[in-house]
Amino acid sequence: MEDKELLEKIRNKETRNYGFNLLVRAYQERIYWHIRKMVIDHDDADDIVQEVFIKVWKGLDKFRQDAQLYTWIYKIATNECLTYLAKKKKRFFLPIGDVEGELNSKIDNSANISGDEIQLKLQKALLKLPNKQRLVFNMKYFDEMKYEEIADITETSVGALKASYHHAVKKIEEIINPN
Amino acid sequence: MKDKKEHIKPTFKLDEMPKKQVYSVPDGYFDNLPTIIQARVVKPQASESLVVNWSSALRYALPALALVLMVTYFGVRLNNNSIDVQAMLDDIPTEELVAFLAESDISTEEILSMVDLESFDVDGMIDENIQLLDDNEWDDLLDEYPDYENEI
Repeated sequence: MEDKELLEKIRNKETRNYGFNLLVRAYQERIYWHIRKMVIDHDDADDIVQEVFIKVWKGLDKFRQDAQLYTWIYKIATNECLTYLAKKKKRFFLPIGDVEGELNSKIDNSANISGDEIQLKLQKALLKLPNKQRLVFNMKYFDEMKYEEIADITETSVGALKASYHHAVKKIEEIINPN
Repeated sequence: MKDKKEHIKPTFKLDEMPKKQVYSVPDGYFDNLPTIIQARVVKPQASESLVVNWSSALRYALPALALVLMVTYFGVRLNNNSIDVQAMLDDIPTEELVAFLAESDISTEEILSMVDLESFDVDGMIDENIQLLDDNEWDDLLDEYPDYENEI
């Protein structure tokens, strides 16, 4: 079902709940994986994804038709992720290295994470990037989004995104190949 | 030459690495998530309907509340009236009251059951009666109630 039809169902009082249920089903996986790659832990991702869709529900009346629905939902999810990570850093008065250490240990110890050595190395290398750069890298590399789409979500210019991605790839390769 | 090749570490190139998802979710997670989210967004509406229920409950509770207030008001009035009755009785001379009680069919037990006496009241009454009666009066009283010991 297209976004336009989904929105029509949501705007109709009689089909509002049903329409929203369809919207969640349409976007839940993409949004969940977007969040999960940032926060690593499933329970944290679960909490955030629920908050994202609750915000979507509350904001649907204000949503402008001219914006793309998935861009809008991604934007909410991205903000929630960044806010969560910033809060985590503040709450525990941790320097960035310690947040990275905590997420690293989650990669090693959490359930629902598996992969060969090089895949896990890549995930750990990603944790060394600044959060925004990691976010851009995930959207480009894993989600294979176009720069224009990422630009809409992050409200950053395409040029800046290209540079950010290029630097991220270089850093990751340097981290994994130290010599 | 062969040894040299063996010691060269493979260089990691992101483009050459197959993309693989390392994360997974518990079984059935995405089947249940829409229901969980739906329940969370519908909750506030449920609390709104609770407010509506409260307001309709108030509609029924208000007459009952008014009734309770009326009963309380008249109860207080009734208490005040009983005080008035007490004052009226105080104005009637004791002789008239005694004469009335002697003529009526009310027994002593019935009168005593209607009076809430404290122990100090009874003591006071005994002292007062003892002082009022002289020996002749005691004799008359004993003649009138020869079986008083059995009654007590």
